[in-house]
Amino acid sequence: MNFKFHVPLLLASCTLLLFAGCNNGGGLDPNTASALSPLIGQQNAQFLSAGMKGVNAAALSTKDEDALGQSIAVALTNQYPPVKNDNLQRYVNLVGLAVASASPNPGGNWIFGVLDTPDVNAFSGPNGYVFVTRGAIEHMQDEAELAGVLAHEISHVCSHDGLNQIKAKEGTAALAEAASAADSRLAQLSSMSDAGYDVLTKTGYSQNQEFAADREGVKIMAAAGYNPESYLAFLRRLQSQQASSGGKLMSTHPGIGQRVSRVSQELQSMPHSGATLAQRFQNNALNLH
Amino acid sequence: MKISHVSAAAIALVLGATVASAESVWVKAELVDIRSGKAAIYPKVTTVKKGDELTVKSRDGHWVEVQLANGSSGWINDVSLSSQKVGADLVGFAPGAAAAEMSTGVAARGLQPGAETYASSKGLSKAPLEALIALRKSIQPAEYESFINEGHVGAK
Repeated sequence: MNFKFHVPLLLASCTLLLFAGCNNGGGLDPNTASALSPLIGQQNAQFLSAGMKGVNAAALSTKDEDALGQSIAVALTNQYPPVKNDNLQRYVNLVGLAVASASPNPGGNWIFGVLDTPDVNAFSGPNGYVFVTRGAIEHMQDEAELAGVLAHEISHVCSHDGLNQIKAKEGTAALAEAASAADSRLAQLSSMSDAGYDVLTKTGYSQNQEFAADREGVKIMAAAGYNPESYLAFLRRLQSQQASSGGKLMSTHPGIGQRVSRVSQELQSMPHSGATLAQRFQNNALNLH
Repeated sequence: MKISHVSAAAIALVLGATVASAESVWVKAELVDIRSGKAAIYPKVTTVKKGDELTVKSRDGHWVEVQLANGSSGWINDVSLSSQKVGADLVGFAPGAAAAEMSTGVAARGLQPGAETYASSKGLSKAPLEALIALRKSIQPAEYESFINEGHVGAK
């Protein structure tokens, strides 16, 4: 198997990562923006740290957020084309919808896709765009494992982490200015999309955001009727393969060991039951190409 | 005539009581889709915005069936609702954008203008994402219901 164990992105699941490092309630401060600049480019870092006077996140409508999510998804699906297997794509959408039905946004605009890359990864963009890679699916053994990964991503989407952080910081002072600058608004949405995509594909969420998505994800998948033990089994499988691959973790991301430990602890207070649906997964997730 | 007056008054009282007993809820999320069924798979009936008042027809778990102004009804999850009156946002980012979206935009689930512009400016193909969106939209509620019933999954 052409297995590229992409540890920095391993389930990093980067919802719009204007939000990287936003887990502390303090918004994207100049230091954070500075730290991000090598990743997202100086211009974007300045854009983020300058207070976003044009596109104020407090002013982002659902439509704006959808455009942002779509833009990032366009870029992502250009880099990693979707697997050309409608049955698989359909199956993953059905699993995702089942999981999303137990999420905080069960009526949301959820779109799921499988990307054709051997990298083990999953992504989520604003307003419900969730992707899992072929490489990740090839390392799963049952439907509940897939449900767990999707639940993790869905949790990120539902949290609106970065948008909320920026909303809190910016207030409403620049709204009138932004509303009168339609052209600038489009340009800035484009810039935000670049920034989000760059961060999404090069780094990930903060440790705390990943821990939180794991924690909420297992609750969501359990509420959707899936056995959360399967998610733990998937993480442990990756952990063992990571060791043999000699992969290294980025310092800004949680080690897989920490995640296994925390998820294991979380599951102690949850029922160890639910559907796993190994056979249905085998029937639908084979022959990925 | 006297009896008629009494009857009319009684009817008015009954009607009044009926109106008074109708439960109102207010939309607390910015924009929320009202759907024809109790899951994301069901088609959107319309979109409501923050501050809109809705009349409850029935409830099923976290899903609330609401009466719409045009006489139709649809389902919305209670996560987006408040039992207390919610004020609309005083300032919108793009005046008219929400209204346009409600009438045309997300229902079609094509690419938003901003995303179209982004793809064009970057020389990116929007076809892969559009294909995924089309595939997702092709899933019918009956297929979804069959899927979750067969696997005993999905929110109860």
